Amino acid sequence: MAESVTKWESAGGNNTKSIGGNGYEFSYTDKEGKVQYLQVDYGSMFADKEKTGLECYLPDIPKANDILITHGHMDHVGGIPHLINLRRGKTKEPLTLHCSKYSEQMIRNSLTSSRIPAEEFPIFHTIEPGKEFEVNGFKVEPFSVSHSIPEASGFVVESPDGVRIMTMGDFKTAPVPLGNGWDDEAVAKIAKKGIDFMFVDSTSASSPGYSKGENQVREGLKDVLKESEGGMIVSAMISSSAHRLHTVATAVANYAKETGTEPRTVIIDGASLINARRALVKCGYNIEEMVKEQTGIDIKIATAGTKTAENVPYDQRFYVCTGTQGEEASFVKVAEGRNKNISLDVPCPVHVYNLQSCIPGNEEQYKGLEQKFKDKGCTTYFPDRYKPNKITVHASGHSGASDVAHACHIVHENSPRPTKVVPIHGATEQRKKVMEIAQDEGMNTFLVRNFSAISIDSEGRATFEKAAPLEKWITVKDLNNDFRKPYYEYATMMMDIPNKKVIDGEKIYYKKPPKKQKPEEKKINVEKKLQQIAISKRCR
Amino acid sequence: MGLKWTDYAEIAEELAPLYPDMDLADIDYEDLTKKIVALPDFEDSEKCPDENLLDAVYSVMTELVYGKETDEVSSIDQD
Ligand SMILES: [Zn+2]
Repeated sequence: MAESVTKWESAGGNNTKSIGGNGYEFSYTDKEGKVQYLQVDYGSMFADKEKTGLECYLPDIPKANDILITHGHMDHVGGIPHLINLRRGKTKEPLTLHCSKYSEQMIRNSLTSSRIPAEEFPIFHTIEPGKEFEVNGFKVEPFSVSHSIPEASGFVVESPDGVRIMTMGDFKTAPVPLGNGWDDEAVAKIAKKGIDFMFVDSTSASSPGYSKGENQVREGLKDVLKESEGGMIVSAMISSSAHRLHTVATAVANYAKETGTEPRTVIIDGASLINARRALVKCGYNIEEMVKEQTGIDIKIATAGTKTAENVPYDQRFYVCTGTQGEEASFVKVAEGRNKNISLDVPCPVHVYNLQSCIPGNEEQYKGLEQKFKDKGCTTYFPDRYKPNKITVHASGHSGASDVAHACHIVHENSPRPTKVVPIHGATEQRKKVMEIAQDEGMNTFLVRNFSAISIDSEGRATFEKAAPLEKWITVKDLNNDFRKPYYEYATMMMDIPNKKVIDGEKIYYKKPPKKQKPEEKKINVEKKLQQIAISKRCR
Repeated sequence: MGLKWTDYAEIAEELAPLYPDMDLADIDYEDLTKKIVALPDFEDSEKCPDENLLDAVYSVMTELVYGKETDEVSSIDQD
């Protein structure tokens, strides 16, 4: 009889350079050799469609039928619609997603966006911080963390052998306005039960200090409101990072209260922001009511293109658009005069603010976007990612060096077992930074590459399996190139990391969803069939 | 056979051009249900069996009216 083994494998997300395609797999092999799986996240990785023709990359198909979802950002859940396509007809087991309500809404939006048939939607099990549940023999305890998106979660997964692994998800420690956020006491309480391994988000670990909170952005927005008086404000945010919408609304209310003026109307534009706004309401976050309760001021959030929005005087408008990086979305359409809901040709000055700093590698497009607004005579403020900014209009969702140290310290201090730290979700340099920080706390650390694994026996002894030099990914292409009628093609792709080469793999055949016919088509098909029957009868 | 509640995308495609002034950020299930049931080729029960299907209709309509945004993943990776 063999030994039982608990295993953690990096299925994606620990890339050498890029970030995304997050996926981690837990497995437990019992003494009889029976294996149980549990996946954490199944995200997509950015593919730059203009250059590659691809929608995105995905990690390999998970073996598990259950996925723990840390949060609703696409680099953690963007693979779910494709997973449903790839599983079609291959398994009768239902897919169950264990996630918060807000993550569920984000996933549902991406399922409808990919036109997944409603009958094939996964089962959603709503998780609550501190409320333990069991999946395939694993005990799972979620705990809330702060991130730019509401209701982000970390998990402690305990295998049947009692091996306890903490995975933080994307996190920072600053308080968040919507839902629960990071809670020192809750993390300490969970750590007291013992943590063997701790997987830590390293994305912003190279930034010194703590990551900023939305409260600092709220203060920064006061300056924005002051310098824009008498003018129209056009801004942009990342829609899923919905705390920012609350921050804008609160800043508008606070400013009106402090100056004794009428609050501006916040007007949202862009499909993903409008979808996010409904998701917030569905999850109980009615921002107008929350702001009224917190400030006593009545504010209005309107939708661009509606009569309510059009009736607001120009100098009272605070537009919030999608598309902070200049991608094809509401913001760039405004800059290029292609947005049918927002025109820059107005009888007052226009002040443009990007409420998001530039994503590394996108500097040219980001600057180009700002220039387009300048060329139209707008006053602009686009924060610099690398230098101190005059006004705080953006706060990262990821932990800075001090957040990482803070989290490591709490776990190290409270866990009765020695905890080993494994950095995840970051390029190699950022992951090395987390190792330094954890080592300063007196913890052991391990650098794990994509597709390598950690096996732990029932005595708690860990061994490391090195990854093969080739990484297997899945490419996603929309052959129709039409979001209304997507026709996805999937293929394997091997990344030869040491030699920095990409080797195209094979097409992955999958069963297409049943085609819906329009009534006229159905009528024609029935007539055709009747004709065929008549012909075959005549031939007999 | 006409449209069923589960045909969320087809329903949205028919509704979007009929109601260009609808506030798509505003959830009004009663109003949306009425509009769907009134579609000429809708052939299902008067009451939607699952609220999530109505949300799916809103979501697709929003994309059709405001345009789909596909590149967000590039922005959130390092947000
Ligand atoms: Zn995230």
